[in-house]
Amino acid sequence: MAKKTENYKYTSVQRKEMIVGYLMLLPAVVLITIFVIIPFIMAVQKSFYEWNFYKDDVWVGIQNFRRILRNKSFQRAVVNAFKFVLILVPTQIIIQFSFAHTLRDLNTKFTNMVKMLIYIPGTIAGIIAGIIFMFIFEFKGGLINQLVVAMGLERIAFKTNRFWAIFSIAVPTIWLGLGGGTILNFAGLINIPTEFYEAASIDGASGFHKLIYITIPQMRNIFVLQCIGMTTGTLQMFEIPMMMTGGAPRESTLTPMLYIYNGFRNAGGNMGDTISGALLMMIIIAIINSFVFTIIKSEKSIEG
Amino acid sequence: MKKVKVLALLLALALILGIFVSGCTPNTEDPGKDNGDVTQNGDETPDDENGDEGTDEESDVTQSKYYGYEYPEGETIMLWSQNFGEVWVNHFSEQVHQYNLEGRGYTVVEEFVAGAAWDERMNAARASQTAPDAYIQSYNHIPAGIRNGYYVPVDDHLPAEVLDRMVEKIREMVTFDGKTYAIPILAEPSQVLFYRKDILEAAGYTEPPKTWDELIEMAVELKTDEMYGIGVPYWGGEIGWSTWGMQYGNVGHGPLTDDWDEPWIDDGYREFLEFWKKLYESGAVPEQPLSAYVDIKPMGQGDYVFQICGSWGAAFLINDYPDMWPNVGMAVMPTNDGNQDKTTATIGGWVYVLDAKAQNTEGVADYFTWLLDEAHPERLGEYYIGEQFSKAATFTNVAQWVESQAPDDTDYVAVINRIASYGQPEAAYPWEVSMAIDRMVENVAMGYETIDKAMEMAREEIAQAIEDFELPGTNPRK
Repeated sequence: MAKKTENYKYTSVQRKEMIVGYLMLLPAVVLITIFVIIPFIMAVQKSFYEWNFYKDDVWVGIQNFRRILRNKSFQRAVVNAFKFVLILVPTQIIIQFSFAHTLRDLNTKFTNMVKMLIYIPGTIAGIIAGIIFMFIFEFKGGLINQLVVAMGLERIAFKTNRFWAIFSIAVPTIWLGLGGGTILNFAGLINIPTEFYEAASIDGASGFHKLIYITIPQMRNIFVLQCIGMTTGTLQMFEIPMMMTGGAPRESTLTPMLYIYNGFRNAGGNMGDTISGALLMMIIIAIINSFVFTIIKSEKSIEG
Repeated sequence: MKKVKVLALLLALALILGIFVSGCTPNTEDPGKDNGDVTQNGDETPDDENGDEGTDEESDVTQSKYYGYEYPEGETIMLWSQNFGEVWVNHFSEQVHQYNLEGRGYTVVEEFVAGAAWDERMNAARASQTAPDAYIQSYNHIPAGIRNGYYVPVDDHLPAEVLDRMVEKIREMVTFDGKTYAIPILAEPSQVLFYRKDILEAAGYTEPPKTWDELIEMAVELKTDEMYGIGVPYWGGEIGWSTWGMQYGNVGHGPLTDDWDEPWIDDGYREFLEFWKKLYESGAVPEQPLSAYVDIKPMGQGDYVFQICGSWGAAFLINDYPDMWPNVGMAVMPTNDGNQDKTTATIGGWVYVLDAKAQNTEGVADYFTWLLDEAHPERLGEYYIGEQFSKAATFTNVAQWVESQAPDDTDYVAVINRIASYGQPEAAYPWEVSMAIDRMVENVAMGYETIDKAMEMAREEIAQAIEDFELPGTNPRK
């Protein structure tokens, strides 16, 4: 497309269309300004003050950041969040891809029904999912422990055993994301041209080779999208850990957002710490996302 | 094409207008009121200590059953309390109703907020400058609230005649720098030992355990496949606050020096930790608690031989498990040396504080002066009867009236009073210090760390809190 020169004059029709265009953008700009930009600026400003809601703000420089950075609970929470990323992101991608792959090979009628069924968890809020799984993982009357006891085994303490605590958070998280992720993978899979597979079959490629050399490379953009979305989502995980373990045992399932939430609830605490923690998490997430974009260079996204 | 553009223009304008109409409409309702999630009928409130379970799923606020009643005109006074169950909601809804009927120039609106939603609602209301005129707080929140400038002293507003009737020990708990900051409503020991009388008798025991060792031995001996030995507070906060009294009485002090300038984790705490270690190693405690500390339901359902809980557990058992109650006894929490004439529990409970930005302090004062009228002790007193005498009255004339109403066969009331007589005020230091103790106990009980290492870690955490909160010289009780 030819570049317009500085002297380019817009026609009256183009000018009118521009005005309409800007007006169409206006609601989004207003919303983003009110709910994102202004709170962000206020948060940055507040993070340099010691403040609560009833006293005059006191400038403390970077003291809030120093305090939150050396806070052992916050440090544990950040490490836990990365642990969850390492556990949940690959697990979810593998499970969702496997489901989608299986769906693609089923007949159409059956596929539609399974797609609908599989999407149901995606429509449920995290808090509700937390309540459902609390009943399943409950120590005395929970479904799993009833089965475990019926088999003559010892009850599983999902809240006090570190392995089982992480497990009890991982399962609902995977369950919640299964529907949306599977549909996304399925859409990616059916977009791969069938000619690629036909040509590979003529050359004698096995199913495994087709998977490695055709399917996975063709799904790269979907994986990048999922990787970024899931990493961001996992680093911000809140409802499920709050409902399932409350951060226990020994803060091994405490996440940064749960820590920040607890800080907000603690009326005796300094709100400056809480804001600083939230800003630090935002910076960490931005860096991680840039890093993921850099290491997984998507040819298609580069091509635009 | 032109039509499309006009439509687009109108749509954009409508959206912008919508944003401003929805976001910028002035709040003409009472402060903090959110009718969207209000239950209109107080009768539906669950009988639950926290009031969390059973509340309308979409609601975290319960309104009085008189909500919407037309009273004589008056300035609106907004009160918030937590929802402590049916007895609380019904009693105070009734008192507010009676007050409003008198038409004293003010109309009190009291909302009952579920415990789980309390902190968010309160902080959000403070942030938006719409906090109610007065609201409920626990005793241990008062020092931090004063530091943050959230409250104003009540002795600037309530008549001295009313405040002078406050039980002396309770007045000390709400007085800082010579000023009284709260109107106490109830006091209750935070740690009592509940036990199964029938099971102990069948095993030949004539009295409950008095030492920690006896408690562990009996719990191990009496537990069965169907019944755990003992239910105890759990970490994540419960140990942090529920063992304040246990620490004062058995360790001899709290985790900070009197000047709050250094951690005070000494050999007294070693013995305290050994108890927790032995308790967990004995297998008497379930691997995971069956309920929150404040909830005595498992005892009512026959899941424990012993359960440690606050005195409020008595009311819960009497009201909700009347068949089980005759089999349940209450005793002073065992101690390290068997001496029960010392602190085993802090005195917790709830008070009303006056918000520093209250619109109408005179109205709040008028309501509480009416509620605490010397000639009408039943206005507050009937609440204690509803709670089966499991909570102590905080004003002398009310306490005398309640005592006169108590039936003769309430032995458990004597136990509660005995514990309360040795009770100390709740900790005034920041919550981070209590959490350091909570984590120290968890580290030892679960075998994550040795006692020495856990104590060292707690010292470090408390030293950090001393520095972060600039604690030296700020102990309000020194």
